[in-house]
Amino acid sequence: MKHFYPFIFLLYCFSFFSCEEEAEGGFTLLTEEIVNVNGTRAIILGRILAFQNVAIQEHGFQFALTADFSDAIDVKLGERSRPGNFVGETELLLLGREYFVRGFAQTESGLIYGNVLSFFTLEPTVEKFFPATQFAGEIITVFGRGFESTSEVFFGDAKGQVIDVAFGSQIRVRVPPRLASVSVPVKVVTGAKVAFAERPFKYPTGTYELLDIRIDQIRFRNNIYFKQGSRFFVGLGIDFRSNFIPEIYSFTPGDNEWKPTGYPGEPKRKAIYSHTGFFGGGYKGFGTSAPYSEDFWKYENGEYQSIASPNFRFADGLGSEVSGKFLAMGGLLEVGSLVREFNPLLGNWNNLPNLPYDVTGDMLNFTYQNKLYIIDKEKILWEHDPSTASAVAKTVYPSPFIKTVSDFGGLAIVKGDKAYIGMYNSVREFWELDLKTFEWAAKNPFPGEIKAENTAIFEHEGQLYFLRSLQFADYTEFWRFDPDAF
Amino acid sequence: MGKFYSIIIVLLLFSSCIEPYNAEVDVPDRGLTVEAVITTLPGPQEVKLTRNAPYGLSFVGINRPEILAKVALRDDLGRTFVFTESQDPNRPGVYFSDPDFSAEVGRTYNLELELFSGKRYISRPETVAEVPKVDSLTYKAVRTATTNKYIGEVGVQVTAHFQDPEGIENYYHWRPLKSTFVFITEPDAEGTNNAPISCCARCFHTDIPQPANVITYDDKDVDGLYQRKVVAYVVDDGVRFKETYRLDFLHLSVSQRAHSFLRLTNQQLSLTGSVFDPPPANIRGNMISLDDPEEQVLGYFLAADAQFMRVYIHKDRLEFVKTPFSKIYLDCRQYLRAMDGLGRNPIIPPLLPVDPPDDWNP
Repeated sequence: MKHFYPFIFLLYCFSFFSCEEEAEGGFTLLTEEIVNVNGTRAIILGRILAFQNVAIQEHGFQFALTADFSDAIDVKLGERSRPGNFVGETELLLLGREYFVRGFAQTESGLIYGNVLSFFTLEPTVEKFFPATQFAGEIITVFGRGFESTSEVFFGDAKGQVIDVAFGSQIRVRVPPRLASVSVPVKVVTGAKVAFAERPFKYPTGTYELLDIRIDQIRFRNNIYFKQGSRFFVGLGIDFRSNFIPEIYSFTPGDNEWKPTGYPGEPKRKAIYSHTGFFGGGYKGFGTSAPYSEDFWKYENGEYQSIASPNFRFADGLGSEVSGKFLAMGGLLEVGSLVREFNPLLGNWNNLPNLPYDVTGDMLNFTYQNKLYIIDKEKILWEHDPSTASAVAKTVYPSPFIKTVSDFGGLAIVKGDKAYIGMYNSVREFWELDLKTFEWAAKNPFPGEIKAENTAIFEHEGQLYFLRSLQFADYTEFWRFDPDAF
Repeated sequence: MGKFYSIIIVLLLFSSCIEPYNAEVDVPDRGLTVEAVITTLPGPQEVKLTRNAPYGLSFVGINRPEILAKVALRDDLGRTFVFTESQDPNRPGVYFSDPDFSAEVGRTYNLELELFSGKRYISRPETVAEVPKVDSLTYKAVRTATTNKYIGEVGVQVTAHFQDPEGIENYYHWRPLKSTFVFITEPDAEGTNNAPISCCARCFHTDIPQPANVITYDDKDVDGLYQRKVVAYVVDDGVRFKETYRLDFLHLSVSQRAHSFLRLTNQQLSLTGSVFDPPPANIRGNMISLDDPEEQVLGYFLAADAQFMRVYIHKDRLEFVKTPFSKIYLDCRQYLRAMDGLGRNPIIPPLLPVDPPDDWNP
């Protein structure tokens, strides 16, 4: 047994050895973790392990494309005496490449390296930009990844002015003037790489033409309007001197004047109406105790047909035709969220579930695919299914509202899968809303007289027609708007 | 005489000049505190930034919000999700993601901050691991001994039942959320001067379940086994369990690093001052200053898969509750305002609602 004692002793001694490499100077250097890699930037965490202070003249990290660290990028963090973590950051990497990194420390006795880690830098990518339509000189934000701080953004061949690059993923850029096309590809040039956006950028379109067919001596306020076939109708309400307008006028594209239609009912203001020919209710007078006008009408086959009145009074509310039925909603005389439905086949009114909020006649509304859309005073566009009383907030009108200044008096109409909304009181903005995606696109602003009130809007063969009653002239202007022209 | 001199000499030997020592204690800077829990539940996700204040026996400061910071979350695919500061004046220093953003299982995230001062911070990467789903929750009343041998603490323990997956390291954390309970008062009770207000003896109140334990767990020794684990404890203060308490909490899977942080935090919170306590420790989070790696940032950026849990605790299904319960001789709606005392709070507390929340379904 005694022969084994030396071996046992040796074994005991060996047990105190380990393979961990300790640098000369009494510390261990670790390249601990790749904290983050983004585009040309990488952040690495290192650690110096020691039981006491260390004398290091220089420390940092080396980044290289090869494992032998030839042509390495050095990130130097200076001298150091305390053990602990250190962080290195570089923004000098190439995109889409594999890199090797290791920590280093320079001591009096030599250069010490930590373990080697590797990572890949990402290719730059453009995910989206917002807004998708913008005027030249205004700013859009390009979202993506792997953007260097020196990135450039091109709109077709025109270079935009980069305002800033945030977090390597958002570029704010000023839109350059349009060169030729209104729809141009967007590309980001970052380092030696180019990334394209999937969808093109669009400059705003839309041309306005003032037609030489104005309605002389009449300026409408609190009126109704609708369209049947290719004929436009506008009338009732009051003029700017608070005289009731007892007539409804019609216009057929191709004609050169608006003609009276021989409306047989009561003059009224703030009636509720669909844009298809149902109307009724409203006031016959003025003031807080203004008498209610009970008659309701439907214009069909070239004549006005009286229809039954609902049990509730509707004035300054909303009207709409959904699935062939006339909806009367809200207003100021009864409960503001009340909904009643007129069935033209049966000639009767039915109760429908209330809306989730009150509505008044100055809120914009339109219908699309048997759903009702209302923009409330908070700019939220609600989608309603009147039969199920469901209401879903779909989007927010993009221009600001100023309470009692620019939150009323706007226009809204549907053409195909797009809604055209805007020109609220005292503002020129007009927007196109894609009803499939609920994305907004700016149209060219209205160029005409701003001191006017919108009276009616119609769509005919892809063109929009609208009437504006001027405040300081005794007539109503008639405009044509081509949404796609530029 | 010689004796006298020798006494004097001995006395002189023991004398010395005493120089007062003025200890200069460094007042620590108001460091940054990060509270960020990003989960797979629907957004918006929330990041709260504050400056910590000195802690002492008396009021010495408040945790000031860190406003005007740039906050972004990055994932390992290179995507960046920018957070925007709350516009609510009552919640400065809180930053929200887009409402449609939620973390994805398997992705790795870094939280990156740039303060108004220009200082930059980044978190160490946190990977979201899938959380094994809870099958069921049970609860029971428990009594715990306290330092007062005559009065024990009564509370309710909630136990989660779930299958731990085999061969995967799992780290669990249960995070209490603001919970709602039926708040019963006795405005008509005899002996009070209040006029009977029978309408308002039953309101709905919310609180964060107390005590604020940090409950975390790993499956190192129980890998692959079916788990029955106490995931929440709500102390009965004589008010909470008069009728129904709806406890809400998150069942989370966290990283090993987060688990260590939470475990140590719980240890520190559980110190009682006894000789068996673990020593006070300086717990490091996972935020790193890019300008000064030595700077200590408090708090933790946590990214986790989450399951929202809800249990209605009914008084009549508890074996016992705290007795006697606390009688409150108030119109229950006025409770918060009455608690405000002298009304020094410039914000008038709201009335407690008598109607239950829309999703109240005990």
